[in-house]
Amino acid sequence: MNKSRYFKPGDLIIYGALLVIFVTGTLIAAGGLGEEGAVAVITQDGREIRRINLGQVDESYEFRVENAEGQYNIIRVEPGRIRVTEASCPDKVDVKQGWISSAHQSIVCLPNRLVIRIEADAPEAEDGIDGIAF
Amino acid sequence: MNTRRITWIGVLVSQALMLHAVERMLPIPQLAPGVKLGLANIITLVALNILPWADAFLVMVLRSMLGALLGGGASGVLFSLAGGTLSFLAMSFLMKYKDILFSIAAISVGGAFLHNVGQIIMASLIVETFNIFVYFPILAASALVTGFFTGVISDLIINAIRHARLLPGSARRRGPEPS
Repeated sequence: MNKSRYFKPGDLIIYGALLVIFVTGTLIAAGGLGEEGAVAVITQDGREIRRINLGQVDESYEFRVENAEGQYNIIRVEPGRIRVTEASCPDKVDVKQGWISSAHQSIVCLPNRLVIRIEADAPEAEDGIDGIAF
Repeated sequence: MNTRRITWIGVLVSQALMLHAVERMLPIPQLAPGVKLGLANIITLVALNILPWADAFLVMVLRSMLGALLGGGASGVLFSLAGGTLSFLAMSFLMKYKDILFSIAAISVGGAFLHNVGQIIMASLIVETFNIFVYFPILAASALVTGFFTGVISDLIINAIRHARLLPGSARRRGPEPS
């Protein structure tokens, strides 16, 4: 067995490509981190059903989202962060993922086709509206 | 299709399903959607090395479908197939230059990454709104580690199979084929 069994010159192409993807992806993601006024956008079947400005949440609360088939997710909102606490989907990937708080992070529940995504910009804030009560 | 081919495909598919089941039992935290050990990738690599292209493809399709059905449910089949096909096509291309240009470890790393990419692309198609590029860094990093690991294991298994003279080619050279 020679030493370079698990390393050939062409490997650098593959590792290099992954490194480029890693660095550019990190830069894109980091661009959205730490910004004020993160807005959680909740979509179901591709339609936006709710928009929560996490920077303006004073008290934590929970609500339930149900789709046409009766499948549900219970979403918990706390100041600056959001998570799924309970879901009817079999794998519970969304529940296990826990809290998300910074821009571009997302929680996806594929069986229920529910997506919670955090956007960096807060259009409400730019328009001069202090907040929206639901 | 002779008995030997059917047996090879059957054995590899069942081993992939076993690895799939074992992996599900391991208590590994879910870092991000799609990040996993990918032990079943070992079988795809072995199949690509010792079986004809079409048979290896069949092994990948069967293990993706059965693995998803046994594990998660019908919705998982699409993701599994998307990831499996993308990584299979990439690895079968890279495999042509194995030991000339690429090591099996790097081929495995590339396949592991593209498996995740395929699944994420499928996910973004289904949920429509999904910023997929945010997951690329973590997928690239995890593919580097898990892909290298599965690549080395595949190499050990391939060598073991070669030495055991179980391959159709080596058997034919050594005597009449049992029928």
